[in-house]
Amino acid sequence: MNAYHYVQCGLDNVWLINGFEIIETEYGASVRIDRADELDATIAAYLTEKSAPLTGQEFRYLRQQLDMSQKRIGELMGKEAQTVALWEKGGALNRDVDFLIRHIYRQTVLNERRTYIEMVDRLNHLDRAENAERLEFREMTGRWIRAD
Amino acid sequence: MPNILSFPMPAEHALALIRQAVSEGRVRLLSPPAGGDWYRVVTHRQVALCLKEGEMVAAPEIDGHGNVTCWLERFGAGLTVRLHLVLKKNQNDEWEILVIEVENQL
Repeated sequence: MNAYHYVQCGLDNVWLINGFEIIETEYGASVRIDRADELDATIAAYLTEKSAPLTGQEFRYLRQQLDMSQKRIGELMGKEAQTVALWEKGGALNRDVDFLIRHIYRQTVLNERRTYIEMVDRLNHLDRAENAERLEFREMTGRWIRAD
Repeated sequence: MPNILSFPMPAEHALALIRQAVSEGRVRLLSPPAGGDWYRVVTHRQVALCLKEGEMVAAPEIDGHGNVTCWLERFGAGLTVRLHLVLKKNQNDEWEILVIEVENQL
């Protein structure tokens, strides 16, 4: 069986030796990957430990594993979203940025540190709230509040 | 004659089938990916989260192949991701999801 080039993960250099099944459908060839979420997490864990500096694409991969926007991850690093976008289009990251994204991912996902999980959840919640087109308010105990 | 499968499939029913198929790993993606290089903008993670948490944005329909098709949407990682899905039975007579399009917008 040929290895499968797993481009859907968002990285150009990931190949699966096994653990996938390709079948033809009326819509075209399709792939099913065994425990794909676990595979994505395994790739991310590998990236946090690789000895070479992370590339922009690998930075984007870790950010998106955290489900964070360029804007929010930029805020954590004291940078604008546009700067983050430039990092992600570029080659090797500078050392500080490389360290920070690995650290945030490790503490949030691998070490399951509550403060990090809460921080990432809070920032992602802010993003979703900003994106919401419909604003819902609730009257409660004599005052109006924004409903979640 | 008994009504084997009621159409149009109610959105809640389709969503329940989708969530169950996802939890049991019965998800397929077109390969090579259709609809452009979506994976240059969003990763498989956002597709998986949309399948698990996304909202149905239009009632399920029957497509030209006779399969149930619908759209799911979720906002995450700074983008709105929309998935065009097909629900169909696999060889084991279980419902399976085939993701045929992935769209995203800032």
